[in-house]
Amino acid sequence: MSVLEITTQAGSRDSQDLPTIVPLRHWGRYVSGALLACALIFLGIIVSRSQQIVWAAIPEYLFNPAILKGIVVTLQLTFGAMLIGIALGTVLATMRMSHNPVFVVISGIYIWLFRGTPLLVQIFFWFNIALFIPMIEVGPYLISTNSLITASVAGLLALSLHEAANMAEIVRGGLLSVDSGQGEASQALGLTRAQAMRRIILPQAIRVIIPPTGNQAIGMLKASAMVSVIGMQDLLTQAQNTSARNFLVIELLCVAAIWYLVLTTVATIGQYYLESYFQKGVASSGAKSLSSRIAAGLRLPIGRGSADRL
Amino acid sequence: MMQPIVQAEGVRKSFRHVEVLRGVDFEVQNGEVSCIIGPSGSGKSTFLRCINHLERIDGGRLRVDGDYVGYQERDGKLYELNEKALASRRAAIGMVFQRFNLFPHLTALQNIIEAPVLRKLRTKPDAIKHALELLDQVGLLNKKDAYPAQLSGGQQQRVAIARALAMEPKLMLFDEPTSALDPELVGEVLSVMKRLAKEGRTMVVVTHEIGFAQEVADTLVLMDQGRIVEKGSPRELINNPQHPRTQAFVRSVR
Ligand SMILES: Nc1ncnc2c1ncn2[C@@H]1O[C@H](COP(=O)(O)OP(=O)(O)OP(=O)(O)O)[C@@H](O)[C@H]1O
Ligand SMILES: [Mg+2]
Repeated sequence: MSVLEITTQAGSRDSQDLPTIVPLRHWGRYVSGALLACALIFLGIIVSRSQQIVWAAIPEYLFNPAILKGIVVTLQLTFGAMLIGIALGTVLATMRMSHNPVFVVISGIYIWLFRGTPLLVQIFFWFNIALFIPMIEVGPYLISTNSLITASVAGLLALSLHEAANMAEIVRGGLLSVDSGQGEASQALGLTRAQAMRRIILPQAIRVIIPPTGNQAIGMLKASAMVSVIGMQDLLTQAQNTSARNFLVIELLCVAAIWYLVLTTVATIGQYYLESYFQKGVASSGAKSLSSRIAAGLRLPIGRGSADRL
Repeated sequence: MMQPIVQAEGVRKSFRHVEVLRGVDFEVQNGEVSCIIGPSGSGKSTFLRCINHLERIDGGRLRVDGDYVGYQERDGKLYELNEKALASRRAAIGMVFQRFNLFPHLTALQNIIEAPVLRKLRTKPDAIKHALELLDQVGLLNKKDAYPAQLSGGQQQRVAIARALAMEPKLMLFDEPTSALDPELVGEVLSVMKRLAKEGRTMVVVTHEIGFAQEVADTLVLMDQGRIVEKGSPRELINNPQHPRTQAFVRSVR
């Protein structure tokens, strides 16, 4: 596009001798790229020649029913914990920034406690909550805590509440990034603080909140494996159970790793689309696709990035 | 007797021991345009923000249309208003900011209908109809679907004026509405404001545009170090200033 502009500008003045533009060549980028490719191929050859690994076992177990069941558990945990974590985290962040001192203290203590203790401890804690509260009264009924807080509930609870503390800080950062004039303009128009938060501040903060939240979700995919300590059968636990029977330890870890990579890749793509959706109203686009950035950096004539970087 | 729309008596305001407003007396009658001029840091913006309770005053009385802003008077006491009641009072006071403060995630049209719809002043179709009229009045009907980032400063400020008008306020406050604009964009905003003045809107305008003040203001006040040191018709104040502060200020902006 810029070439076109230059052409028309120059053309209007003097169409005879148009100078040809030669883009700067970054030879270092080609050389280092080639070296890296060689190193990777070399490494691949060494690994694949290893006699100790039964490579054939990997595709064989990739779609094993136990592994697939594990994926379902991992996905359920991740989705559940992220949904609850984002919702509760948003509530905590708005409480933290409210004018009500009780809210401020409550959310402060919550974040301090749940962010300040290891996730593993929290998982054990919720699993053993019956030691502290043996019975729960629901209306006229008395229910034993153990029958209510099963391993699955404890796992989901621990991951969600821990995530809420992290999300609260992420959301708070997003809210603080919104210009204070936005809140003032809303107030001047007669909106209440709650209306301003919901309609004006949060929608603008989302742009800042999404990237770290995507990061959290990807972290959660992997962190959810910790629930194996209370006997939940997530992806990694299923892989390890299987290898305990057939001794194909590395092979099944590879299977699990492949699936984790697939899941995180899908999550990353989802994040990219979410980010571009929330770019509306913003002039410059921060979220350029990776392939177009690489193409632009190497001056390859693919993608849209090549022209506008001239 | 006519009750003034804005009535300030001895208004005081401090920021951490620094007294920014030191007894401001100020009145605006219905349909009147009052311009406030004065050197930087004299407290003009702070006073304007007190009028719609974006800042809480520390002393004196400040009433808009007979009501204390932010308080309810009962049995000789002032009870602080709850949020809802305060929001309703603010809705009747339009404000235009130096830096526009349009909502960047909403189009021009959405910016304008947001508050009337949320406050249930109008139904959505009705609000859209009204917003299109307002956009037409500020000459931006063709920009109704543009986001603020796609508009020039002057266009943004005109949308901001339309947004404030959409609440049908009985009073409009302007805080240096043209100071953030490139010189060639100032005129388009001032001409919109001049039309509002001609239509008989009650306006308080903090401005450095002496020419504008001279043309549309009914009263002109000079603020200096947290006080109003002189007030009068623009002609008197600019051509024959009495107070030495006014004389110095008028000389500096000439
Ligand atoms: N929120 C605040 N906290 C502390 N000090 C403040 C605050 N707002 C304003 N001030 C101070 O109050 C004084 C008056 O500020 P104000 O913005 O009202 O002046 P102004 O007359 O509008 O000036 P200008 O023409 O530059 O806009 C300044 O000294 C400013 O530093
Ligand atoms: Mg100011």
